[in-house]
Amino acid sequence: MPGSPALLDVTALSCGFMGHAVCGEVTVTIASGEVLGIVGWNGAGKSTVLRTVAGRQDALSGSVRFRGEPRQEESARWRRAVSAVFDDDAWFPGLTVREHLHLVAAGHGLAAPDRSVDQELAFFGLEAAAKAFPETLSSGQRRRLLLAAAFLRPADLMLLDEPEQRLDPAMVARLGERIVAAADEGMAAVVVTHDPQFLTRVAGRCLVIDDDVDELTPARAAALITGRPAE
Amino acid sequence: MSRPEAGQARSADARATTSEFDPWRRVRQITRPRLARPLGERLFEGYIMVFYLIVVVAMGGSLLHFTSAQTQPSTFLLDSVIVGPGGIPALPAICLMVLALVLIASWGLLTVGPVSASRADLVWGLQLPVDRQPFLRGTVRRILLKALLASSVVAVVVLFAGSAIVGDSATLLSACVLVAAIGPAGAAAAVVVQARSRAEGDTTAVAGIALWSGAVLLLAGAGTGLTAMALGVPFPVVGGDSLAAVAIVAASALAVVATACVGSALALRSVRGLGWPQLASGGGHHLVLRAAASSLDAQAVYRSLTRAPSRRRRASALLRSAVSGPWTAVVAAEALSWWRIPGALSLWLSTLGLGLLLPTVSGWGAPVVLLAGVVVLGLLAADCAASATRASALSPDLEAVLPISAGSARIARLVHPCALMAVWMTVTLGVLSLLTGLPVLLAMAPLAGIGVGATATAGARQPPINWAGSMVLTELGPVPVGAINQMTAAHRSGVIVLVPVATVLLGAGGWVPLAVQAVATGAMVIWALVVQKRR
Repeated sequence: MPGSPALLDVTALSCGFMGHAVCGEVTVTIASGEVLGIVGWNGAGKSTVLRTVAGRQDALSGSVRFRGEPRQEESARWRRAVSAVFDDDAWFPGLTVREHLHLVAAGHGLAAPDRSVDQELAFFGLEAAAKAFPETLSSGQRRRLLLAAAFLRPADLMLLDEPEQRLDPAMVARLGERIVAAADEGMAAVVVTHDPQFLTRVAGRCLVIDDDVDELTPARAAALITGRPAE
Repeated sequence: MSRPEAGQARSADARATTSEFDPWRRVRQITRPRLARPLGERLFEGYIMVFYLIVVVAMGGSLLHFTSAQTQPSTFLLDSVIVGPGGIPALPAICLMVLALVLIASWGLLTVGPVSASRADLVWGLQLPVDRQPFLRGTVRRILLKALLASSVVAVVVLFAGSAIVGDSATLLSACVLVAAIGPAGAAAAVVVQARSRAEGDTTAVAGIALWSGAVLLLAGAGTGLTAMALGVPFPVVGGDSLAAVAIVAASALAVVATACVGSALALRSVRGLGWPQLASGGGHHLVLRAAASSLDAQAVYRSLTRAPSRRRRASALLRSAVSGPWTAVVAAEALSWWRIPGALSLWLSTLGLGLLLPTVSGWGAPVVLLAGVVVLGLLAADCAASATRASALSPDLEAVLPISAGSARIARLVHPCALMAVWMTVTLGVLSLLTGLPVLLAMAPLAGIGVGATATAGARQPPINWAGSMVLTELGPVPVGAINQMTAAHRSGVIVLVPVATVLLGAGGWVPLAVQAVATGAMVIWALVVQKRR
């Protein structure tokens, strides 16, 4: 929603490892209801930027402010407001799919955690795997589980690192609709992706990460990563 | 003679080539360079083995000296639980039997060739059109023979060392015969158990639990006098002139040989159904187990011996009833995760059982022995109690899915291990408190438990050892610089927490140790909270 106050304010953020930046400095603001896409070549630094924004990696320089205040990634406030899915599989060891989701729902104080869990299991097609341990699932099912946990809980901002990876096309389409619907309800999202169709379906703006960081329209960014001229 | 058709000639050539191909020769060609080791390395390994044997004999001798009937037993335990000098002369032999049992069974589990393919893992990994059964049978026989020889050596060492120190070889003879039989029986059991678990596609906790159960049962038998009755019968000495002595020795030797034969038959039958997938899997499993053993990670060794969790499970009632917010969610997740780690509960209960038996066993009432037992068993139990944290620490950002700060999450993760260890210390030190009439021990117990639980949790949250960094050559092989320090940090801190308890056990009076215990526990809890998570 252009014009609304910034939910996330990233200023001159330099990301990298051992003092070496992997891409140009990032400066961007995101308001509630906005979906920002991030694209770039392999190794350009997309995931590094997202991890740095999330606080899971130290920034070389620059700042990240959330609701006008410096982001404190280990605070309960940040964790209550931000839902993130990265490439690394993360679930509570020894818990089944249903138990993991129930723990997330109850931990966030949902009024009817069982009903919410059932809805997400149905949406992400995990009913048959509800009693299974995550490590026994396929990689695509594990990705569905992480996405279900991300959408199950309330959040103001969602950070998604290539969420379409390992999903079948039908699920990718449904995921896109879900992100758009959540944005319509006021949630902001930052989505790293390699899928041009997915990008144009969900994102309203797009950053292209490289030695320089540019902001393009999703259509132009999609054309750039596919090597085709923009329509 | 007509010339053969071109096609027939090619077919004959192909058959000739196939019949001349010896897959085992090819395997030997592939594996020989890999298995060949320079003479210097073999000598170095021999030196280590001799050194190891000397240490084991010295430890056994010290144990015998400490626990022998000639040593003055504890003077601070109540008379009712003290069995005076000469009460159970077979106890030293029992202690060495337990030691031998653990050593031999561990060795058997580590080196079982047919299943874990210690020397020939590459052979199992190759998909060759060969019959592996001859190779398997030969390996099984070699294993059982080695086990028989090893346990016989241990038995002889027990006999001579016991006779020299205790001066009573008569009662040791029967125990030594049993020790000699443990080798082939243990190795055969290891082959059977591992072969069965391989056939089912997973490993089993049976072997690990059997070790601990055996130790508990032996000690329980010693405590109640049953073992003393069974093993303390004054059999004639070897070389005596009585006919009974000769008969007993002959019968014992026959029993050992029979054990080896029966064990061999059972082991050979069990490996008959193993195919290439199970053998290849066994090779991988063996590598993991060796790596865990080489890194001195007792928890990893135990986990590698235990069964994988079942694939499906009903939802736990604990989560539905107990979770009302992020803090309770982390506590419940840790508790449920620990409960479901295969073998964790049995290991923890085994250490608790041994801790309870320790003060009631004759000859172990000496304060130093009691203290060593409490420390070793307590640290082992704490390591087990923190095993869920060890697993969850592999995903350092996991707790970020819940609206809980990192600091609160660290406190929540301390709850379960500290509670388990508070119970453990309260039970074991509580018994000691009753026996000694020292109420301060009971008061210190929960604090000591919380402290040890906190240090174990901090150890579980340490960053993983960097095996890709700088290495230093040790007797254990190449080890990353700082690895030993990192591995033992939690245990060193755990020992510090138990120093106040030690002072009470060694005779310090008053309530000052309680105050010191509170301070030590508080310091360790704070240390556990500031240890950074893995990243």
